[in-house]
Amino acid sequence: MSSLYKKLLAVGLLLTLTTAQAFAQEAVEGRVVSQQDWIDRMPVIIAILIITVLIDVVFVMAFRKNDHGKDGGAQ
Amino acid sequence: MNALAKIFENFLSFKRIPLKIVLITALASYVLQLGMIIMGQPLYIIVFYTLLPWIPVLLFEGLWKVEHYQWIAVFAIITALQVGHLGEHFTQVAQLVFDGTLACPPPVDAGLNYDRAIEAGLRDPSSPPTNYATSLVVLPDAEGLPTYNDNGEYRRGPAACGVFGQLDIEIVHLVWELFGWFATLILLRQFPKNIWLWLAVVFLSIHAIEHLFISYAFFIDTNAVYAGTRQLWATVADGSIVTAIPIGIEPALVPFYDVAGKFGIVARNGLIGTFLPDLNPLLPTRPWLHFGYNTLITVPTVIGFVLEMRRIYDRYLAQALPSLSKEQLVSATPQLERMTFNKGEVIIKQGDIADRFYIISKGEVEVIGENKDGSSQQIATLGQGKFFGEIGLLSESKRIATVCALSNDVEVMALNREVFRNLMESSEMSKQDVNRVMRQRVAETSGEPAS
Repeated sequence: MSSLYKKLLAVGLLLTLTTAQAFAQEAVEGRVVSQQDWIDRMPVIIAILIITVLIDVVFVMAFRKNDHGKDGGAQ
Repeated sequence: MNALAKIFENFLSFKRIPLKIVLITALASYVLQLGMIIMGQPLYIIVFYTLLPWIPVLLFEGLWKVEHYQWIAVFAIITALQVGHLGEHFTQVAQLVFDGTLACPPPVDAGLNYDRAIEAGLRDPSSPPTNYATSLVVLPDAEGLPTYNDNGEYRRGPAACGVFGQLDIEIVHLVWELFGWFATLILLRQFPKNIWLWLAVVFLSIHAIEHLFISYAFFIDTNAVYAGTRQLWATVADGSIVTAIPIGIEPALVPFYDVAGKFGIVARNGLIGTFLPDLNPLLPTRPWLHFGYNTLITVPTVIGFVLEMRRIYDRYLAQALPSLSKEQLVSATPQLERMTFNKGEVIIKQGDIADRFYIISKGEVEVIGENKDGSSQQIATLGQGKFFGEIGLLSESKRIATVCALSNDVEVMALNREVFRNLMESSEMSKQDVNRVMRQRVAETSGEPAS
């Protein structure tokens, strides 16, 4: 067995072991969701809220500026 | 009310698609539907094949309506899509009422579901997987095992995921919601005085916040650290009707989405329910909440559309007779008759009795004068938005020139003599405009200067 082949085999073995370790799931014991989990995600909710309101405001301001007096007819 | 009914009748009638094609499409849809029912296909396949032949027909007709009625036609399309979407949510809550189970998207009769059924002895190992989505689900108990009725039979009901349950996935919910929200904002730009559209935008925005957060939990917040369970299904097939049978639950590490995120902010077990546990049982579950959101979005959208329909008119009529008031345009639009001609076809012939006024909505026509010696000469060519046929109607004379289509698929919108005369009598400015054009054309035809 050539030296290069041995090195490749060793690297392959290492990669396989580390990957297997990463995906190993020995016990299914997780946390229970709590109020704190929601509190941790409040910045995301607030950011979504602000972005949504901003998009609405940008649309409304844009057409109030450009199309003042438009009456909604077919044209 | 009659006027509105007439407007709707005109708007909903097929203009571009000939009646023959509509009838063939209806027949094809019916035959396909019947065929799928006879073959014992599940509901989603029956509905899909029933709708399939109508898709190209509605697409071509929709494009014509957008061309002629512009933003109101776009409004109509968005309203129709929202009504269809609400129909899916309505179907889901109806399925829940009739013993349905929230197993969405419905388990497919293949892979692990098929293997588990073989292992549990629920199906013949020689029967191949059908690959159909589940139509019926046996109600699971708290342990994820089947429940039975008094006769010892499975308690089963529909998979409560709407008609097209395979589309009951977060990305579809998100894309649809964002489409509806932005489309309605764009409509609002065209119809800023429509308060119903404003109301729809308010609920679309609230709904968008819900879906953006749920999608964040599903796509981004994926660290599986919570104690959860997975329902295991086994599928059995009777022809193409697949039933999912619960065969237990397995503990699993799941992400935030599975334990809380999928309920969003307002639904039971969501944000509000977590912080106000006494209120939690009173909150609607996710299917009912989102049915509610979509009702609050669709109802104002429909009302806003119906109100806007009172102002619909054909853009080419407005282009040809710009002095008509909006009320006159609206009342004349349902009277327009669509006619098409191929290259070289005669639309009006010199010497014939004048019976219609024509507006060109597509293509070009040539006006030809025929001399007494039998020779003929081209007087003018007219394109989109121009009109002809007014001389014979206003001067109560016969046609003084022949008009032929210059290309294939020339489309004109025609008004009959009575409607045209009423329009001219009710709009002095339009009459003057048309008279001016008429004098100019008579002069060109006779070779004399216009008076």
